[in-house]
Amino acid sequence: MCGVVSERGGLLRDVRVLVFLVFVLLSLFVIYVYPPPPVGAGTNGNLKFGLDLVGGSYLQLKLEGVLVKVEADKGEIIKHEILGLLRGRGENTSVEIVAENETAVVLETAAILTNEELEALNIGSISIERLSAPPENVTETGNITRITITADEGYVVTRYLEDALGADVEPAVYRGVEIYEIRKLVSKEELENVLDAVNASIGRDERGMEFFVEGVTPGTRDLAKEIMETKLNMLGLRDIPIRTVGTDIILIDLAGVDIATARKLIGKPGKFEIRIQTAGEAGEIKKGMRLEEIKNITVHVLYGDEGIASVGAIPQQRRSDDVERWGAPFTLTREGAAALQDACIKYGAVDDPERHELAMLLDDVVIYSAPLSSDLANELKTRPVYNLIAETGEGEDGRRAAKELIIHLKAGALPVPVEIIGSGEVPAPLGEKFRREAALAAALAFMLVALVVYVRYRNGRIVLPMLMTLICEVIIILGFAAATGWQLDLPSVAGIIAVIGTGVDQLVIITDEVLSGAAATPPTQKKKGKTPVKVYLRRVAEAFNIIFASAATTAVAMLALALMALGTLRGFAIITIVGILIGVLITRPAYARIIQEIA
Amino acid sequence: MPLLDAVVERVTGFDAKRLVVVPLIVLLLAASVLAYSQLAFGTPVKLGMDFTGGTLVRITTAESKDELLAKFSEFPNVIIREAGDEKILQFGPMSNEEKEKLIQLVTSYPDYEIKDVSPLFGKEAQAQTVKALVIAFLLMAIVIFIVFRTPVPAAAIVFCAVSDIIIAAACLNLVRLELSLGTVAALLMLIGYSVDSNILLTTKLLRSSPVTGRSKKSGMLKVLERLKEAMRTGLTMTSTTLSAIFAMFVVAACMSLFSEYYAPIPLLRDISIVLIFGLFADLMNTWMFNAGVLRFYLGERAAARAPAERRKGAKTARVEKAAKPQRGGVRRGK
Repeated sequence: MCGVVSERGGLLRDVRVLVFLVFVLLSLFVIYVYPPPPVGAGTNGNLKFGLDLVGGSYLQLKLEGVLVKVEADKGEIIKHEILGLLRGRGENTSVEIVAENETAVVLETAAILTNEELEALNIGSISIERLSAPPENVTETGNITRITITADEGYVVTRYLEDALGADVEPAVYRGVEIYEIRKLVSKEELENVLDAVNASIGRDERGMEFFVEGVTPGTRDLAKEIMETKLNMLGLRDIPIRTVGTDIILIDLAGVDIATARKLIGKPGKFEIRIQTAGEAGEIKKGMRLEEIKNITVHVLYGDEGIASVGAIPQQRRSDDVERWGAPFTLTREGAAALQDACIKYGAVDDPERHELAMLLDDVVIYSAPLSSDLANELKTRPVYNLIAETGEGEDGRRAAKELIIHLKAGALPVPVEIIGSGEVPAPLGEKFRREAALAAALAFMLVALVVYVRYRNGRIVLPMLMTLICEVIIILGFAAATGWQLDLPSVAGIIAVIGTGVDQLVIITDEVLSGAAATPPTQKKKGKTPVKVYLRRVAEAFNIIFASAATTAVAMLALALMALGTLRGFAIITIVGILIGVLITRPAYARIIQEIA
Repeated sequence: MPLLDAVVERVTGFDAKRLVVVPLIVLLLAASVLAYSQLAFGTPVKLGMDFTGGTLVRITTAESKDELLAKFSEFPNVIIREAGDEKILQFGPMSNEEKEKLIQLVTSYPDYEIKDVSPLFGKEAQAQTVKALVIAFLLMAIVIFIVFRTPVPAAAIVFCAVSDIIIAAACLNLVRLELSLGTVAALLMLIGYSVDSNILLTTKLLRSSPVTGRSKKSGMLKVLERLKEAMRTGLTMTSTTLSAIFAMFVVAACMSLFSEYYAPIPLLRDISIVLIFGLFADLMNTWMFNAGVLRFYLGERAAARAPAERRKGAKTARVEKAAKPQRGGVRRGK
């Protein structure tokens, strides 16, 4: 420590004062000089303002889903499905499980079942044997159909839950437990009923509690976030901050967007449609055209929500003749595949693909249009095709286009249903008012504080440095906000005013300690304008003990607020904590040094 | 500052025991207000929309309250409050279709603000608020006990913080303000603020207090002297804080009454009201309750340390202590 230096110039050589000045200058630099503030920013410089100060809407969304552990036997499920199939035909024949292992289940029944029927159940790969008699004699008792189904348990359970609940189901690992993610909100009772039917139950975790959690996995949450981001970007709303809270809450701030538009954007997923060209020339349908323009030369084939089962996560490449061709893979549902096959045959696309392009539309805008490939056209003549690839071209451009198409395909369907749990709007003129008032409140607070300290000390030489320190403290906080890109919202403003309030408190503590220390000094020493180092240090040390203790308590209280997941008031908490830290570490030490010089 | 000195002399002039009683009575009254609310409405403080869910709309319109009631009658549980042309409409939870319709209706006004909270969000907010308050309290108490390491003074500080919050919450009920996220933030901030002046007081009286003094009498006088010094600093602190918060209140709540140029800011208003109540409660709790407890505690400790034969003298010292400041009050006049 430099201790006491009597001459005025000594202040600038003190490391605490220097650090303080450097931070003030650095803050001003960050706010006004680098990075260069946007044109027209004026006194705001690089400061960013929150939604409530510039106008716009916000959405708080909850992703709906259920994470559940399932104890099930795949044999039972398959048996249940086959029995259901037989009952559908009006037969009451029994089905027995004769063998079961990790990979396969063998069942026997007296009924006759065909490969097609079983495949339609979509529970695994099938092989059928007729024992002891050829199919034409099956009416005789004693003849048995032996069915071997190869499928792992995860697949069977997933398929079963999807059918029974009418929702997407994904096997996943969550907190180290193998679970199923049901991408829809289902009640526990509903799920238990479905599981009871196949002698299955909700599994328990290591503490013996039933593993049934409302929410989605982090992966699904991130996927939903990504999709929303691209969707917003697609609509020309770039740099929209999307934050996630916990695993199932998403917060979106849409500056400059009104609430009706905002709710439409996110509240409803986009409408994805595939249409087929029925008239006109090859290549007539172009990307970016609107539905009205192509309505007369196309007919509807399927909508994304019912026709598309899944979309591949990444672009797929195919190498032919040394050229990389990229495409977006997607899978159709049973209905979707059937609808596509019907349409292609009906409108002649299987024979003349070039003039019968498949067009994909998102929210009534064409995002892709291309003819069937010849081999696909041929295949469609005989049977429905589930797995398709929309090819987008060669090289890097093709890959990028494929990626975009995948996003568009997904933008048509968020992975899980979304509920708006909170929304609101501060229109721009009101935000303008708020901003004016926030500035006014801070200025008024500062003036009142100045008045109070002046009335208390009646000495410009004490009051001025105090107020200067306070101003600098606010500047450093703003510098921090500019440097981190923090958006100043109303809670942040409240935080700044609170910091003005607490900051001056601590300056008062230091001042009183130093002043009473000076007063306690014997007159002989006072004449020389010095305070004995020992008294001064002891006094200041005590002041800092008080300051540190109170700073620590305020900081921990605010920490609790900052950790509140919904995050609405995080601005208040963070600004307060940052202000306290800046105060304790940077401005108080400098002020203590300065005031000691003056006293 | 004569006023400050006068206040300091007056408050320190009272007997420690009597000083402690007043804040305890106020706390009891505040607690019964909360208890009444709990019994009557199910929550100690009336929960606002942030916690119950619902939709809040603010519009500026010349239409009368009745006209608006008729216009918005199809939506559930309409409550309309007005301040001049500014109307605040509050609705209960409603379906998504209704909400879209409401938004359409509201956005047709030139000047509006909408806030919509689902009951689900509210429930979550309730749970988190309780959690945040508990965590903040525990952390604060831990910090205080680490700093002071002596149970009585530390417990007195924590008690003051609890009392501040209870009194501030009771005042919320009395002025019919609902609990919002803003008020929760303010209640948490109160923990920090209230502990501030208490730490100052306790540090001043305790740490630099070798009250092992030659006599109990001089020891107590020294304590009183320090108390006064701390109080002078502490009162200045709280007045600066109060003036900053008061500025916030004036701008957020009052400016809009005088000029169209301003709009009320409910968040800042809520925060400032709670802090103002809390800071006044804290003035009382710090300088009456905590100061009283500490005086009593230091007196006891000094008495315990003093040789047994001086016990008798200790009593007279306490009498003198009570009388002393009055004389100080007279002296101040010159």
